[in-house]
Amino acid sequence: MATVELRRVDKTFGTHQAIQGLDLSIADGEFVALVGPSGCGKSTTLRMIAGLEGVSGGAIVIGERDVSHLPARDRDIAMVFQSYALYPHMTVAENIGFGLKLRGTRRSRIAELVDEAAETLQLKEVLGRKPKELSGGQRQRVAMGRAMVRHPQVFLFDEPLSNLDAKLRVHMRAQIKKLHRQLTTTTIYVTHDQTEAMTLADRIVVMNHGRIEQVGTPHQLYGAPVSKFVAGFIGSPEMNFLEAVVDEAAATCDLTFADGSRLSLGEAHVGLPAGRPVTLGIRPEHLHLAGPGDPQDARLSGVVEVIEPLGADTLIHVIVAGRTLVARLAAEVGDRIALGVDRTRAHLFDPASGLTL
Amino acid sequence: MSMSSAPRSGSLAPYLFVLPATVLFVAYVVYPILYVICSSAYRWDGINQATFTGLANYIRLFTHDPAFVLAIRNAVLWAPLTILPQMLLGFAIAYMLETGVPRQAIYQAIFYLPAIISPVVVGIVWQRIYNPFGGLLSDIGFASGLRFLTVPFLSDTKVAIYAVIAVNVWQWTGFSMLLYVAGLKGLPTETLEAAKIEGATLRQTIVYVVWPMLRHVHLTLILLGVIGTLQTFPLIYMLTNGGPNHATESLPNYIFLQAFKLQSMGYASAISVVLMVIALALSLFQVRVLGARFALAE
Amino acid sequence: MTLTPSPRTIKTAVLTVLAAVWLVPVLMMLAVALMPPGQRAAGFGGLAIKGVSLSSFVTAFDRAPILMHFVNSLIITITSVVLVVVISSLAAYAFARMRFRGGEGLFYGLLATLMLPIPALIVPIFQLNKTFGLLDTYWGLILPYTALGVPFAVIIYRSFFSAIPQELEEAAKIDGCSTFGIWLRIVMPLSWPATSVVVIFQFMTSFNEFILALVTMDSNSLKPLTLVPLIYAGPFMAQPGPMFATLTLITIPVVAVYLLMQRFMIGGLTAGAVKG
Repeated sequence: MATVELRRVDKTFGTHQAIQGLDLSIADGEFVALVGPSGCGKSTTLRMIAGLEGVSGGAIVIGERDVSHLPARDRDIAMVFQSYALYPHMTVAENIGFGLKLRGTRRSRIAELVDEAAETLQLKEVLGRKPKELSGGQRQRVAMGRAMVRHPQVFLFDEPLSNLDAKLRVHMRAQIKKLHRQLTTTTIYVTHDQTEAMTLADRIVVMNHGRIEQVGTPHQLYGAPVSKFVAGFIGSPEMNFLEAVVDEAAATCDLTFADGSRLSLGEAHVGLPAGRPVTLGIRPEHLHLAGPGDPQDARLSGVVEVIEPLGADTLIHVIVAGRTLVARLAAEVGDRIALGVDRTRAHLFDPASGLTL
Repeated sequence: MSMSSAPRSGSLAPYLFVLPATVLFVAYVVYPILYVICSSAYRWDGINQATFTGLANYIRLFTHDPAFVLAIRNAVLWAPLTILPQMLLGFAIAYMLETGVPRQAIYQAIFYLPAIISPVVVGIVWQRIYNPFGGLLSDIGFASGLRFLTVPFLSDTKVAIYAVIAVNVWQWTGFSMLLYVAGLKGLPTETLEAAKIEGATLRQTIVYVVWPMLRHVHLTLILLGVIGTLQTFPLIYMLTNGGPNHATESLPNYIFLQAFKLQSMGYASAISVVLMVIALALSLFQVRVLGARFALAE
Repeated sequence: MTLTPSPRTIKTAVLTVLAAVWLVPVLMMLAVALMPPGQRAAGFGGLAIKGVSLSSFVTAFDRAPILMHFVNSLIITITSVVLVVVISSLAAYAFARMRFRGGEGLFYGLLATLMLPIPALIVPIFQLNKTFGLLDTYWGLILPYTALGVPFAVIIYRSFFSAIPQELEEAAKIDGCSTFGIWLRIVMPLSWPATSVVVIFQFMTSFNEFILALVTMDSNSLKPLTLVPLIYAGPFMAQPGPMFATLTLITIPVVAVYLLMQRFMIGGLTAGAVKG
């Protein structure tokens, strides 16, 4: 097990700068998820750590070793691929034991280790089969077994669950979490699914355009996003955004929307100059049906356009100030309702830079 | 290479991988090409000292050599008369096979069989078939009264070239069939089903859907057919050796005759150069202009 | 009830007639080879034989060292097949997966070789063999056969390799394979359909080639099987029986190899190949 450090890592493909000055320290035994939209550089970053891509600048350090220019096989890492990348011409046992065989491990020892991994992953009955005779979930587990069996210093996962159906994905998510608790191997996990990142990771790295937007615990990213991008990426359903202008900034922060309706955020965001345009961000779960406890100026009213019953709760789409807001509460289509805003959990962003104010 | 682009296992690897192929390529393709170009400027019997004669070989070839003219005429005849029948027959067989008949593999093997038999065998067997004295065709001709089957196919200067072409068609139709079978297997079944649902008849399906969708196979076969025409050698060598009186002469056979029978290495080299230029020009034309490819690849 | 035959029946009938016509020369070869001695004037070019006898084969084996020539053919053919498979798959792997200076030029050079009429090179190859003392040796045939077989094989392999998911090779790299190891342990085992196409084609061309053999081999003891009808034409080949028995013997090995590998062939041509 080991720490992983990226020091000012750059990557260019031709003239395209895919990664710019990436700095990241990962503690020994930590589970870190890299998330972001496609093309944000998360996979490239993982592949550079793996040694599948060279770095154009900066350094990658695993443990105390600078591995920036070492071939993948000398980095003591293992990787689980999105497509699993199982060797079609080898049995499950051969697939899992291949890395050990290449390192000259004794055959009896390979058998032991493969057996042990198969035991953990419930693959004992299929050890003699070829990958094409396995179900999707089994293939996924073989890919994990192949990574585990070598007891590497770092596990790298590249969207390992995205080829599974929804139910199996939830199940395997729990399995991966359990495995990490048992093995406590440093893990770097790339996904585009923020739920996966939130549920699995100790810390999440949100990437955008080849840069890190924010690094933090799931809780920090959810509660205190540094930018509109992070705020929008983390949380499901997505945070609601409304363009507004600050009109009264003395004692409270009052906002006016495009249609002239107003909202006061109270003392939460005082200090902004009047006339400043802002983007208001408010999560669906921080809107509720306004009751007697909600002050008149902390309400947004609108008409319910769509309802999405999810079973445990319901999402409604409400037209407010010409925009659609999503709220997690029950109502009927066509209802004219007043939404109470949880003012302490509202976020304000600069419309130009997208940064949190 | 700088270190920066690097955790690949050494930038030397690609060169080691292509080294053996490159050595053979240089020794047996590049060097021979340069060699024939040089030696085409000499009068040389392959053993004694060669004399530099400049373009004399080429001048003789283009102005004083009726055999060369015949070889060119034969190539012009040969290309369409082999390529078209091989394509049409090969496609018909492949289509019938692929749309479902029992024991497909056996038919496929039978039609492909001639393509794997040695030209030595093919030549001797067909000499017997064409033999006017007790050969298969003449026996049939006498038995049935179809007298045209009793002509001496290979020794009649007017007929010989067509007789050789027929053997070529027999030999290579199976190869066309094989490429068409592979091409048909690659067609999306949904497109064919869509045509069926739109009410296309069998003829319409073939003419408007299947045939156009196999364009890459047609182009490949034409490309290979043209190159094949310019390479045709063992079959002619065995069947007629270019005779009678150069009536079935091909450029390759003529090269062999000049080089190894008449010991005119320089003259043979000049013919070789002309042959290469024609082949490369025609191939490049097809690849560049028609977009033909060796479809066995990309 | 209708009396029109189904399309399937018509197709089968047409194909059967065509196949019968296609088989005639081969059947005639067999018939003449199996003709009992003394029955020289069998009708229809020898197709209509009365009775069957192996005596022509006995004569062929008696008068010519058929087995020796067969062994020569095997040595030359198998060596060139092995060399072509190894050399072209290595090169094709570099072409498919690595970027390197001159790589593209070299690939197009090999591609252009396919458009080159090989007989145009026969004079220089003969001289080359002479210069290097390869005339009248196995290598004098093995090397040119290999060199001229490589371009086609490279194309087959390259298109096949390009269709292998790259993640497999990356997984192998992480598992600890060198580039050579990936080629040997991952890429080649997965590419047997391509290999079978290459083996069939190379086996056929090397086994059947005779023009280069004719000018390269001087000693009878080194000549391949295809030259037998030409070298022993005088002594006993004037009789059709032993001659056609020999032709049959020349044909058996290629047919056997083809039938053994036929089922892989279409697969090899379609998998990753024959794309627009």
